[in-house]
Amino acid sequence: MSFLSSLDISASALSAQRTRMDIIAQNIANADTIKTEDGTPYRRQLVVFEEKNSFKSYLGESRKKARPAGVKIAAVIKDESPLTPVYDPTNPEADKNGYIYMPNVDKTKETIDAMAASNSYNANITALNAIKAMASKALEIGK
Amino acid sequence: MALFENTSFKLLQKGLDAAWYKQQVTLQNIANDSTPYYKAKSVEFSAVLKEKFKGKKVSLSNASYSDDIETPIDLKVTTTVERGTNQTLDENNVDMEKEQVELADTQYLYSTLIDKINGEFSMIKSAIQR
Repeated sequence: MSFLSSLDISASALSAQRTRMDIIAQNIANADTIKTEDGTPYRRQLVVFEEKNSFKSYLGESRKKARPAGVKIAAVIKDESPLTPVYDPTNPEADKNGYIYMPNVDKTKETIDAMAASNSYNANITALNAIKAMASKALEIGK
Repeated sequence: MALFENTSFKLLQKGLDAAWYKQQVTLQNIANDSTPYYKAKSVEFSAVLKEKFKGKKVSLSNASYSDDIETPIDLKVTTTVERGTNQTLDENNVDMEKEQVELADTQYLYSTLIDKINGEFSMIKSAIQR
């Protein structure tokens, strides 16, 4: 029984969902950014989650009781879907045909994603409270 | 210290460990509800419990009760990975409603086991006080 590592499961999920939320905020904030540091239009970013498992479980030492260890962010990738061309010949960033390229951020998609992240966050808070209540209950042994 | 090493204490301890582990797995499932390709894990131990009891007759009239008997239930914990059910396009099959129910269920189980242990202790306490 590992009390602290159990808290880490939910804690890792909380921080992962928070990072996801940060990225969503970044996407919405940059929905109209046509020039980033490297001169290209902003591309939508998304986080990729990966299950975190303790290393021992891979060594087969305790495959039956593989210790769960939460979730981690494997990568933050760029959405390579095409950018939206907008005709705006007066814009200094326009190409020779008069088009500027708007980021591929879909605000509806981002909002739905934000809701999902928020719901996950809440679910993990509930889970954290459940295991906390169990640990407090364990302290009552022998009282 | 044979007082604290009887069968029910051992069993309750195993039960507590198993319930804690089950809760950890539920936590893991909830934590990974948006992980692509993650498959929900489930822990079964009550099934093993019943199987062990099957065909065993417990006779109360048996006068020669010995505390050294082998624990009747070896609480074996098995973790299975659910496959075949898909909830979303990203091949993740965590059912959040089910996990929330598991969470509450295991919490109550754990609570009950603690109460049972405390019951055992109060029995010992009252035996000492006589």
